[in-house]
Amino acid sequence: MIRQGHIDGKHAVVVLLNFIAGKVFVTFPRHMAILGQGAGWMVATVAAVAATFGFYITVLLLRRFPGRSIIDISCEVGGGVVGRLSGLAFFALFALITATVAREFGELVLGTILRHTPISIVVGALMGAGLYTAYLGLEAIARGAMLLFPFMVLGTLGIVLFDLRFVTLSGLAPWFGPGLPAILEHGLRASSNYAEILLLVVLAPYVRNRRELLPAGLASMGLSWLIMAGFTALAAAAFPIPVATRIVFPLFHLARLVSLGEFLQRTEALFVLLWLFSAGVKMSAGFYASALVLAETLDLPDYRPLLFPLAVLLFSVSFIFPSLVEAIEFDTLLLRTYAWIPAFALPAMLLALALVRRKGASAGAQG
Amino acid sequence: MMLKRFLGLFEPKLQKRPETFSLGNRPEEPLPGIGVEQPSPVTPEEAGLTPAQVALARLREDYEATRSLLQELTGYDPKDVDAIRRECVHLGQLIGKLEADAAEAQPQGDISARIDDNLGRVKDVFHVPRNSDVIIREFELGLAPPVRAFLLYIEGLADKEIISWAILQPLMLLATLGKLPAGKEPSKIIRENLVPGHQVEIKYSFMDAIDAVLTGVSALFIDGQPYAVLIETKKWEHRSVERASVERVVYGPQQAFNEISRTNSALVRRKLRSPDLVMEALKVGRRSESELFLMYVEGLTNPRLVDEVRRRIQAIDVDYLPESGMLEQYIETSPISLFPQSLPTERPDRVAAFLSEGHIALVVDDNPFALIVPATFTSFFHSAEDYYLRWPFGSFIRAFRLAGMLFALYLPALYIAITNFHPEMIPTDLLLAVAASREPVPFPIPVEVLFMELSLEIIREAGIRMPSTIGPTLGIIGALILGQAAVAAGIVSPILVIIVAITGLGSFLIPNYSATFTIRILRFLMIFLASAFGMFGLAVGTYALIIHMAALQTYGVPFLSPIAPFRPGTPDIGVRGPLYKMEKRPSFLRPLDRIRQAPLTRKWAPGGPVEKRKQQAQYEEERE
Repeated sequence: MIRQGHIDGKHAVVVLLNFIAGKVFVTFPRHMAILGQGAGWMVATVAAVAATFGFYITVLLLRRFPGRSIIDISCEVGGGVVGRLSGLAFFALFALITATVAREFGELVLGTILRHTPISIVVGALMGAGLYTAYLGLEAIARGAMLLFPFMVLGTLGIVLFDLRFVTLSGLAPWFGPGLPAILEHGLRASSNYAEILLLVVLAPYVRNRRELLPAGLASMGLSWLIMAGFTALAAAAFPIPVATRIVFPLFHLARLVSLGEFLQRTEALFVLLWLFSAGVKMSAGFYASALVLAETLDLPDYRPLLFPLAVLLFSVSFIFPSLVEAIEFDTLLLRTYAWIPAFALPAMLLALALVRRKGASAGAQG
Repeated sequence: MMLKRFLGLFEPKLQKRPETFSLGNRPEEPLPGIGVEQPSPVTPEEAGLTPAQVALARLREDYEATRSLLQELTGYDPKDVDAIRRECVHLGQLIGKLEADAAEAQPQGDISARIDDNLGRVKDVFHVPRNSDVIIREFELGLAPPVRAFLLYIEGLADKEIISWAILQPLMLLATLGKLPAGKEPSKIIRENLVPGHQVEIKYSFMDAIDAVLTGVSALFIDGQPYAVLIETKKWEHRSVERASVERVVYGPQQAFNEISRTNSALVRRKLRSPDLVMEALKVGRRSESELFLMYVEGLTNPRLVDEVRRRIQAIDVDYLPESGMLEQYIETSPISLFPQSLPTERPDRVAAFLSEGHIALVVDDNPFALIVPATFTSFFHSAEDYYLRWPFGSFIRAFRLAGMLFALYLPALYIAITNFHPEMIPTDLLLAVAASREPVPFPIPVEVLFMELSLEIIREAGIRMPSTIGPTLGIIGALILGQAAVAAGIVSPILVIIVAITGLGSFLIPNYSATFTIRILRFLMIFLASAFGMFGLAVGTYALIIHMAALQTYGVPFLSPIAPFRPGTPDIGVRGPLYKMEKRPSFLRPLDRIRQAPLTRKWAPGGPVEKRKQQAQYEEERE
């Protein structure tokens, strides 16, 4: 295990909140609007419930092996090859999330406040910020996220407060969108949108009090659900559904509507600035998690030598997509449709394997 | 496997890294090199035994042998026994005499008994006569046969009055007046009968005597005596205790430290009258030894913190370390960070307040600034006066200070970002005003801002170095460059003059001088980022700044504590809460005693939370 300081439950919740719900600033509301029309928030809710269930199963797995990392556990349960392969699967998930986030936030900045800057510079700057933070380690990420949390609250609550006058409840109609069965089906697959909770699983050995793991996970799931479902509903209620399914960055357009009296108008640049803090935390958490998982998979004593090569790799991956459209397609159709497999199905399979092979402590002896 | 082996190359290097010191969350381990006594076998030579003492020990062995022999013989022949008993009494007397002699005997030093040898050596060491301030006064002691002697001191460091009237006069003239006790050791006569100085010491080591002379002591060498008599005569010119000049306050004590470390330590002890206040003397420097005091409160300051600071100071192996700012650079945790990690202060009251919280203070001799370690971010915008004012006033000025800090850091950068990249954010009327004022200016905004900021920095630096007699000139030049002329010449716009003026004023609100440098340098960084990337640049820069501060450690304590990690407990971060609510010391210092006042200090006041009343009752019970 790589020794890397500790975080407590509160810090874990804040990091996870940024890591999971940070996507609300980019394409998440649109994705939900496409899946569920006016009932996009219901899809997000079903997804959250499903993901929480998946997370609970993973916690059961962790409890059989107290104090050990998920890679360690996979190796113990399934042997070296299965362990390494699942390690690589986790790594791929974190790496792809980080690369797409970088690209999407880069496009957000480019499309809204910096129209004439090359995208490589913007994505490079985001990568640099993430790299720096990940190098400084877990405690730096956690403390930084805690410090930046008020800005994130400001950047989200501000929009809610100042945009309430544009909200019409009838905008959410038809209430069940494409129908309950479709909502359930989409919702189950959209649980991939909460796949980032896997970060808590990776960080489990570093959470100071082991008993805080499940409450912290549930709290971050609940708060993320509140933000993600809430903004999905807000966007759907403020814009007509056909518009909501077409706007790429709905929150930015909500921010444009904000006008603070005569003096401060068109403050979207300020809001984007606040969201970028969230993007920074998300990037650094993604970087840190990918490097940590890879280092553990390869049995390295430290994750830091991997960071720079990883940054180069992810920088290149984020430019595989020729344009924003392809990036969003990849994100919604592939990543956020199938991420549940490594995030929730794989740990469940490992748990089943552990039960069959009678590995780890019995459920009665849990810490 | 190959990859693993390749990456394994990193391993030895990674494992060799010394463990970073952290005050909290680490198992209690003895730090290397501290508190570990090295037992070593002691030989008589090492123990510093004199030949007389060795002889005494041998005699004592003989005596023991004789006594056991006597016991064996007792009862065989009374005559022999009687003879032996008499012999033993005689031996006992001899031993008593030897013991008395050994007590009187001098340890072997390297000072010669011949005065000419000593004189030559002193001249050689001090490069006399080339060295003009080293005074060697040769004279004769006024004893029955006169004895040659010389007095060595440094002019300017030693008190001439004392030397003339309290050393030379008694030795040369008054010695003949009274009757000196006969048969007494000469060093004793001088110490007890001839020199009326308040601190007199005998030294047998030549270099000890030389070191003492360098601190202002006078050394007396006498012919025939292998030692130097050190007479305390320190007196040199120094500033008296004056008003604080860097950290001024309206209310509260006005005294500041001066250059005399003993005065400084006394000023602190006057404020913190506790026998637990320890002022440990440490020495740094090989060519010139600087003395420094490590101040802490025993039983309150975390001993691991004290050990760590002491360890870092003892690790300094330099020629010359005259100043506390230089000391800071040798011992701080992160030398590349822009943020200062120790807090220099000239106020004894501030040092006392920090010590009572569990911090450590370092006072270097000949230096009017004490260093407080560890210094955290909050202490850079706190001032002593915050606590002397009532709490709403203290919080009010603290809020303005924080705002000033933010203005000084961000205002020019924000101006560039908004006008250059996001003009839509400004209301139309204001935008038109900005555009109109910029119309005659031929430069882009960043150039304009840089020009003004550079002039501000130049004027600021000039103001510090300038002789005070031509100070008013600076005001005129500054006002002309920064204001009237620059605008009239069409180089800058009037709105920018206002921005730069507010920025400058904001940076003057920061109560700590080294923290102003941090803000000033970072301001240029922000200007650069805003010029290149607008709000995006500011966001990335701010993010990196916050993360950097969050990761920074000062002496094992997170720099941003108690904000991140957030440890509320005492309302003393941004808001200066009421004093009666500050029951606990800051927990990030891990003080041995966390409680500094009763839960309910205003128990005579009606009301107050019931919870507090309960706590108070419990507290009083515990006290009893």
